[in-house]
Amino acid sequence: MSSRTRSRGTRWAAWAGGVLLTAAAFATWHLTPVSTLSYSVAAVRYPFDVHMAVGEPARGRTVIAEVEQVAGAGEVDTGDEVLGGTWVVVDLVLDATGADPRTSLDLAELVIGAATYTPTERLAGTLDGSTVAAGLPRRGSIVFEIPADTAHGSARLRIGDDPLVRLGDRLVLDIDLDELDFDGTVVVEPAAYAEAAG
Amino acid sequence: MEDDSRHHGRAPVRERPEAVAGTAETPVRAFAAALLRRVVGFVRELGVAVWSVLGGVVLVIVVIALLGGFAPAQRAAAELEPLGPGDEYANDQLTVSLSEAAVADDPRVVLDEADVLVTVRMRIRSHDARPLSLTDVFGKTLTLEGADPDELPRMRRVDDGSSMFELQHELAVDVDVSWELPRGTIAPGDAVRVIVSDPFLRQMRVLGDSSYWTGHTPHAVFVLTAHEAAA
Repeated sequence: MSSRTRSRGTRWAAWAGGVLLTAAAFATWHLTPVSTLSYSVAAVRYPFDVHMAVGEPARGRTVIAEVEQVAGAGEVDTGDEVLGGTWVVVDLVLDATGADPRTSLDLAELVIGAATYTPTERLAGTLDGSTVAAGLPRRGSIVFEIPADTAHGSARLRIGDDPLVRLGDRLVLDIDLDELDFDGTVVVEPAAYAEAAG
Repeated sequence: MEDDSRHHGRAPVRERPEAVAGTAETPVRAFAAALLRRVVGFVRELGVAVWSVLGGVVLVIVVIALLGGFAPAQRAAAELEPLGPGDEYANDQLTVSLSEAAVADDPRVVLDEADVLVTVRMRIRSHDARPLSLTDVFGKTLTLEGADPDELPRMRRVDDGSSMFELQHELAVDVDVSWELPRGTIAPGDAVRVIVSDPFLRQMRVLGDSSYWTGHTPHAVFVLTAHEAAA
């Protein structure tokens, strides 16, 4: 093979490779769900994930949380009324580290696939949005209403204080929705002060 | 060239018009040949790659022209698709179906006594992957004709009466949406028109990761006959 033929072949291969890579980048860009994008400039300020496990306290920079139980339900009972739907109820104890003088649970979301759910507006007295002070933990629930046909597979709970703080952190809990029973009734009690952890 | 008629003492021969034309043809041909050589040289000099790109651009322009891409823009507002009670309309943002409309002129249910309350019952389902705010829907995607688009209506669930400010992804809810309109602009028996627009989601992916709905284009109109709200 002459050097001229070889250089022409290399040139075509470079062009073909360039076109292929551009097409692959275009496809990746459009097929990747927005919630999983991590290459934008904004990614540099994403909070760090601190992983939680049920029954174990997890400590972030400003928040300490211990998830006591995760339950599915077909009804939630508030004592005043029974609400139908498909529910994910997370019972937890929330405390503040004292790193900030005022800490509130402004971030609470459940991510299922590419969709993000925020706590239901149908219930009052839940923990989301509540303020905690160091040494005065609160016990309560965060309740999500989700479509019945999404109640399977894996989900991720994300909680934390101000989600806009750059390079902050958030507590995350992976939930297997297949392990939850969505037929029963779960009683949801208003958030209240809990005993401080020893 | 020298005229050899002088050397032989003969009268100069006058050139015929055909001969003049024949001698003029040669420089023209020469010029044309030189021009052609220059053009061919230019074409060769640019090379296959440049001409391929130019050919591609021309091809794209031809395809755009064939598809009507250079046709004059249609600036007249499109006619809205008429929809009635129970019809369903879907776009990228939501699916909505309106079932009934009621007018209440009871001063106890309005903030301003000079207003009446128009309540439209609808089933609504958001397709947004993030919780969809009321502010992204009313006055933009769903607009009550005659209402101020900057004034947000109230939205309450039909089943438990709780207020709603966000719609969750693919969670269908039956809601009552209430607007206040100046008294006298609508009465029971009148037509209530709710215009549905199609927005698109603009996503920031490089400098940020936020997204917002924009480019709302009116596409359909629900027409319901208002009845008097139950006391």
